Amino acid sequence: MNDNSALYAFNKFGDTILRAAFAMTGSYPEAEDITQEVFLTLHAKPQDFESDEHMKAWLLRTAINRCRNLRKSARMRRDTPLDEALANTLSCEFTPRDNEIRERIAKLPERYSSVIFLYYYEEYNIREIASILGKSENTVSSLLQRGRKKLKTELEKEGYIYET
Amino acid sequence: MRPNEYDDLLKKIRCSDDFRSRMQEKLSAEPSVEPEFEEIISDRVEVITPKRRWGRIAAAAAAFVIIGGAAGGTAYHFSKVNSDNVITDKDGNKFVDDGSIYAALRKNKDSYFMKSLYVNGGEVVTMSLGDEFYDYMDNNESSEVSEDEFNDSKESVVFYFTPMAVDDGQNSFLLSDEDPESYDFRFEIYDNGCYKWNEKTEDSERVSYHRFENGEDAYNYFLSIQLSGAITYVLTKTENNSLIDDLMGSRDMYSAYLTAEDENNTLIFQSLELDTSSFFRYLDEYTENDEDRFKELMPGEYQPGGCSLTIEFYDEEKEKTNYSYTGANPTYNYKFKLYDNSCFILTSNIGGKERAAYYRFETPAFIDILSLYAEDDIVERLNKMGRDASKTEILSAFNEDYNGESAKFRKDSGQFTGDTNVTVSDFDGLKDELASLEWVTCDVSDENIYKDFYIAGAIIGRNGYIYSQSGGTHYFAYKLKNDSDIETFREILDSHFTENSEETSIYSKLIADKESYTVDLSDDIKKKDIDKDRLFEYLDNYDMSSEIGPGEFVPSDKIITVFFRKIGEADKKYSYVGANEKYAYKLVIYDSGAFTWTENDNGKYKLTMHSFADDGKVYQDILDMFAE
Repeated sequence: MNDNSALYAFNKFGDTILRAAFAMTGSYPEAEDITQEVFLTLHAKPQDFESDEHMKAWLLRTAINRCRNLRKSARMRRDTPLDEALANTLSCEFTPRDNEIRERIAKLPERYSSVIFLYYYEEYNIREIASILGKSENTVSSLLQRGRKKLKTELEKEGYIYET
Repeated sequence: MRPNEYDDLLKKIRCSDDFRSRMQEKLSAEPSVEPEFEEIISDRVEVITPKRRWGRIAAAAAAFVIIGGAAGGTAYHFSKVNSDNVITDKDGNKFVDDGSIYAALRKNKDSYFMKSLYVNGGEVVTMSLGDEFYDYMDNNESSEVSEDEFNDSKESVVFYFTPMAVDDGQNSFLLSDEDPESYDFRFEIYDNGCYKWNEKTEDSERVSYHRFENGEDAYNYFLSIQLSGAITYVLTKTENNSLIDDLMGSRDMYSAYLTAEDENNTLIFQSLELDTSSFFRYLDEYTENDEDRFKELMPGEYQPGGCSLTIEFYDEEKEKTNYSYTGANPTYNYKFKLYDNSCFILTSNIGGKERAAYYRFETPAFIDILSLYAEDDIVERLNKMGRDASKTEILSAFNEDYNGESAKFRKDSGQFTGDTNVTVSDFDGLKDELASLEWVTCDVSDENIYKDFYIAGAIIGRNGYIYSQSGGTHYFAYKLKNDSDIETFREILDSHFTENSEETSIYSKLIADKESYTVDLSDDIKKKDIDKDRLFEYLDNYDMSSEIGPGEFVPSDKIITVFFRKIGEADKKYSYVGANEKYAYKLVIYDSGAFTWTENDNGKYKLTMHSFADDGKVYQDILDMFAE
């Protein structure tokens, strides 16, 4: 790999980690905080990665752990409306539909949201997710199934039809 | 929501320009020193080389020095590092074997499980291989300190390391009977980053004190390991647990009462302060060899029966209202309602949340459980005959120890005439075919059960009956629900049961090789020359094979004993009374009409009992033929 440095890692995977943190928290400000912590930790304590994929897996796992810890410390505000000023600075635009989905994701327990993100967005397979999260493959499969079911249930309550 | 909407939303999430700019600036600068670490080193001079995972260890070997302040206190972790004591494990990870307690564990980490006891409203004990633990310990700086320098604090995380007892390849599983606090190694870290190791061997114990330079972060890391394990356990245990498992797991938490009703919902029996130990023992025995024996029924499979019994479990500390069957009842936490067809519904009402699940016992559990608490007259009263029997009940009627290969058939027309050996083919197929017919319960004293029946793990009567022989007391048998099924039933039996041929009887064996034998009568009879052909010709007029039981055998004082010996056998001298008798077959005929065959197969004797039912005619005929 090219570089073990945290700067390299941020340039390559900064958006990925931000998305992962967002997928688990539903809050952009919190996602930024977590992203910052992950890369600053790597900067303070460099790791020896075998490959970019290894680096990415480490970053995701660290981010997921931090999301988990933040929730436990009750500092999370899952349903924080997106700050308008902040939203204006983002290089994206959230539609009302986006906000609805974001709120649904944020309401998912963390154990589901992390697996859903890794599976659907990052397209890791069950085995890879198990390795990242330090869980057994059976647990990951079970989490994925329940997470999907829970998400579907939440959306159906709102009148959405979950299309596979 | 379509999956691509989820994707589309996340793709919109990107680092803002401002955030990116700030991060690049920070990551280009030197990393900041942790405050805790500055406190620790306030009175010491330290030279620290750049820290990298493996590179750190090598560099520290060359240049890492701590000048200790407190006498006899400050130890240093890496001063013992040299190229000789750096170990590479089988995964390629490196650690320092510096004689520390951690090194002693780390060298043999693959032989240990890491246990954690998490207590928060209930104990959760988790076990894992500890990969995350070792990863952190190998890659993060810490210093050994003296006991005086060691500060514990209010909160801590503890991990115990015990030798592996089971190798099942799983990463984590729940402890059952082990003391969760037993260990060879014990690691406890406090929220200020101080941690200590305890090591126990057969002969000694030792303890060492340490401190992570990134104290709070280190504590949080280990806390997250513990919580992650606990969450995984809670997730997989409680969400995978069926309702019946929940009930069995909380048996000591509730008081209970039982009511039993007949098919008209009339209360027949109740027990207000139920001792549930018998009930749970029944469930334990039911699941003893198969933890998953309870399987939830699909809605269409569940069929409430006639009579029922209900056990309600309620919180003991909750104030009980006066119980009256028609009045207000305490709010239950679990309600177990079992019908006499073995179907039951289990309902829970905990924390305002209701759940229900449907199951079916494979045993006649209604009578079994009712019998634990009610007197026999109540049990008999509620043990209704004529209810439909489930397919599972029929399949379960057969003794599980039965080998399914041979059976006996007893033809009984009011008088026992003997058992016939029968060969069984495809016993599992036989059970399935029988279970596919419709059956109802019937009284065990029904005499028709014992007419023309097979004994094959259960009593199977050709008149359409099955009487379970699967152990325990059976309060009922089963009979065909529809008379029209009797022919089908018999065809099933005939296709699986084959009576053994007569060649297998003792007389059949003798006849098959009769030329090889001499014939002698017992010494006490004066004999003419014995014409064995004449004897065999005479005996062939009678049924020499059908056996009778001991209850039908009627001996008498007058007997004739006929010996059949292999031609050429030496030493034919014998005394009738008490001496060795060398024979291959012996026929004893009583003047009562009874007779026995004995086969001597190289010292192994087999005896069968029979009857001519002739009031002694054969006895007399034999005497007339061969006695002087």
